[in-house]
Amino acid sequence: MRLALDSDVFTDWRYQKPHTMQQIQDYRKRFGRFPRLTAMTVFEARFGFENKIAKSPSVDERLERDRQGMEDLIRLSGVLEIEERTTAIAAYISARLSQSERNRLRADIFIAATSLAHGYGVATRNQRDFELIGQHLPPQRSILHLAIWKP
Amino acid sequence: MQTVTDTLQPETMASVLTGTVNSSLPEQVQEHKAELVFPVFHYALSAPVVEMFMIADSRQTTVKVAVDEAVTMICELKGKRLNGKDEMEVGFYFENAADRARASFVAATLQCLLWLAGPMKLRIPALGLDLEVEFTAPLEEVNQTMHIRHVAYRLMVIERTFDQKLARSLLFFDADVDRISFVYHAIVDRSFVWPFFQAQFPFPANEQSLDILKGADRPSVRRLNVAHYEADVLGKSLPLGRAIVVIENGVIVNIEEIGRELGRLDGREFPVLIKSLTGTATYEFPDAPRLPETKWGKRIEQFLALDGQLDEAIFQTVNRLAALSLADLSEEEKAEVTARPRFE
Repeated sequence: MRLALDSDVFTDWRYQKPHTMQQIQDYRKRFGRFPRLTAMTVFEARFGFENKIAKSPSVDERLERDRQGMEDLIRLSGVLEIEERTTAIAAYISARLSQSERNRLRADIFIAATSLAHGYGVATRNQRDFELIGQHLPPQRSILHLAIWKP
Repeated sequence: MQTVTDTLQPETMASVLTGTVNSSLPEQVQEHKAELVFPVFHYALSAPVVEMFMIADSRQTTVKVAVDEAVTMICELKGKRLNGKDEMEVGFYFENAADRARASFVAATLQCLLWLAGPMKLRIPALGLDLEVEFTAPLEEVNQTMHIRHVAYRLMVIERTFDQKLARSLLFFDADVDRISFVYHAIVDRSFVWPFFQAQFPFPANEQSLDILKGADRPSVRRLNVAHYEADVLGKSLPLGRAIVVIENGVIVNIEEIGRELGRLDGREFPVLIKSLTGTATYEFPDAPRLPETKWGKRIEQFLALDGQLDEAIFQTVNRLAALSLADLSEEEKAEVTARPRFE
């Protein structure tokens, strides 16, 4: 199953966690390409830099350099966009979760919905939350494939 | 047979690090060889030169090398004067004279070698040419070309196995790649796990079906025999023979309809819609055609042997970007830029 990376796994890769690097290398050999990123994962990764830059009094060349590295990585991995069908899946899931779950899982709902809409599974460390999301999927897309990439 | 000439890749250009070239051409090109040496990969390739020409005014020499039965590598050498010094640039591109998977695989492999194998040497003794060149990898193109190489090999296996021409284009949709991979696994692995949501299987309304479909409302292992499985790849239907589809946690969707149809016991076929609760099924193809024993030939065997080195090189190149995205930051800053946004 083709996979998109959840934000936690993308962060593990950037931190050069050996188990994540191994999983990504194995995936690339099997599929001939790197796992994709969802638009929500990209948003979360970009927010980290923007949030830091917005608080900095002056241009920080280190941040710019590292941000450029991340942007290159994003472009290379390829991004699964949030399309109309993604919003339909996300709305279906959200309506079936409690208010607190909805608030807590807002980003994960969109990561799952985007992956499902594009026919991808999700590589994540966060098994519990994605399994909860997986219990509330629409009948037409009722299975969310999860790859749990933990050490 | 219809053939097309298709430029596979944009030209790959680099400045020559060291090297010499004659200012005139030999009178005939027959029997001259070009040699490409990739020292980091411990690989060298020799292929016949089929054409050479020189445009004196623009200080440009073009050499065409037949690297495989349908692939020509075109090497352009351009002299220029930069900052008062004579410098030389070299560019490579490939022409594919037959849109076959093999040609795509060969061109993509060579292109990836140029990009990923570090400094390389180009020697054409007839031209007095002996150059050392290192290309800068345009990462998106390398990544895409490595994917083309991966899919092209799988298509080569399918084309050879079914003795059919399937490749039409070098760019595939995800769904095409999935179908190519499915048939490749059926030929090579024979048994494999594959995503499965739900599918319709025809059953006759008889006692045997009644037995098989017993407990239809409960999830269980559904083992289904398909007498003739055909898979569609790039618009062609390929027979894979008998298939056994094992669906763990399979449930039947149209239970009411089945109850009605089975009650008739008249032997007529009716559709049974089976869904997997886990989203996967194991496919077994005991009688699928096999890849013929005949070898691919020396060049392809050598290119296949480069898989490990090319895979490692692309992974390390991309992985450096991942590392770079936090490389200059303190531990505290890393935590800050990787924290998930909070909206409450």
